[in-house]
Amino acid sequence: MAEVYNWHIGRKMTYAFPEAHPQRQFVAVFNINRCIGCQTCSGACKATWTFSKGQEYMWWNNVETKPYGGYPHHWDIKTLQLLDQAHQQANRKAEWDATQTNPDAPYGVYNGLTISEAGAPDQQAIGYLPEDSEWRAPNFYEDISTSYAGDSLGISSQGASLPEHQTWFFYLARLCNHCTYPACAAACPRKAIYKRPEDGIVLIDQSRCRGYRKCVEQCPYKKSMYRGTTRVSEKCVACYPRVEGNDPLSDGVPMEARCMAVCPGKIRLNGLVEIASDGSWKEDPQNPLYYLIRIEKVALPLYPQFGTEPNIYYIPPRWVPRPYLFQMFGPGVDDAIQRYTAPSRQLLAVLQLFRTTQKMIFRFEIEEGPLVLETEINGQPWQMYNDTIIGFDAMGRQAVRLSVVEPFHERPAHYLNSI
Amino acid sequence: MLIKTPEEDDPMELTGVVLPGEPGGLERMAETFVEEFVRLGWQEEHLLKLFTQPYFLATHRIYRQKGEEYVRQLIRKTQTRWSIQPRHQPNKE
Repeated sequence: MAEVYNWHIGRKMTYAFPEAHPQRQFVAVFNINRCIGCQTCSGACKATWTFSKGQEYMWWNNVETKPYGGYPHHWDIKTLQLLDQAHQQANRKAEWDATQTNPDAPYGVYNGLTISEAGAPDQQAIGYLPEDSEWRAPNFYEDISTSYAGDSLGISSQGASLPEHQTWFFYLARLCNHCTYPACAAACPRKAIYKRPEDGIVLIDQSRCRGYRKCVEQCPYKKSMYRGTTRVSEKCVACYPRVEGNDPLSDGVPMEARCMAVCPGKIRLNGLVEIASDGSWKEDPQNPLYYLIRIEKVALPLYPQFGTEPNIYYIPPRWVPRPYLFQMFGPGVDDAIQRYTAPSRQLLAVLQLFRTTQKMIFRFEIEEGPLVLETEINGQPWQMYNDTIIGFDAMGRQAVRLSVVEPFHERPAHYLNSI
Repeated sequence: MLIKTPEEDDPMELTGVVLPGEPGGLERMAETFVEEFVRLGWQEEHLLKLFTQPYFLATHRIYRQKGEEYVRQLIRKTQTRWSIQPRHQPNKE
């Protein structure tokens, strides 16, 4: 085992391979506060990548209802349970020291065990292999109702009639995290999984894979999936032809992945960040992703304690009890929600960039506008300025230009289903 | 539509229990959703559809439990707080 630095947990940790980092990394920010669980992202991915025989059960992108939903069923609870057992056996505690924050450890230091540190001597990481039934019915226990009479299409205008949970919930959209230290790659006995040097996308070499399913077992996010018809494993490919700029629509510049580009709730922003040779993020304050994650810190990694340094970041939901969010997103939750609820002038403008162009935005500029609103947020005065934000593509060309107060356009009825 | 009576040991049957709610949880969720979409420029009638449609379970549950008047009042209250100017521009085509 090698020692590598993981900035999510603020310390070095053990990993199967020594540090070797890509020049750029595929990164996305999801704003959970806006997600209404419409599953358009899931459908777009399904229609693009997993529509063939043997892929029926696969949802490379899925949206699950937390706290009770999951695909595969209870994936996170099961991994957290394994991690808890490992801590008990080692007489350790999964604790964060949030007082030790610095630019290389923005959330403090995690003093517990990661999944690779908790693994047995013959394991690269702790994990489990979900049973076939656990992959069925994504979001089972929440959106699947079996006992109401529908109309001729099987749809009920009254909605679900099953007993409903009366507690809080939120929708968690998930895909492969294209981790900096992928557990799937560490687990593969064939070394068939690799991280691309140009964009950090994690792929499975279909010709090398022999379907041992060690990646399925040891990916803590359960985003490697086995295909019975080809007898090899598959996973999200981050729509790499689009990221490479090879899509006919792209005009030669990187585009957002399909699941990102279709989101009607405008919850997603996808792009590439520059990575230094030591794995740190090169300072790039005008890159919207760098700005949201490293400067404002409003977007946080999913289960950072797993230790894989995932690259999909989430703006946590404001209404959910903090202990749950703390477990899911780490100790940065309080600050992230505070900054998001009363955004700074610059943050408000950057939040406008979500889902405004299919092209990845590499740089933004803000032109200051007039003061248009003075109000109070959580009892504190807050001001809104109608600034203009401009997003630039990989070639430095203007890709989008919009203001904080943007007109709302309604598509005419006869164009409702046109592209 | 269910055509067979489920057997008790069917592993695909719902076995979960209903979790109780906490006071104010539903209202906090409703306020966040409304604020997010008002800030995106949505007007009352469009935003109300998000609640009346049963396909959006989160917002529709709020609608069923709290009623249309609650949702309308919440939208209006949030608009008063956040709206800068009429944003809705129907396409002229």
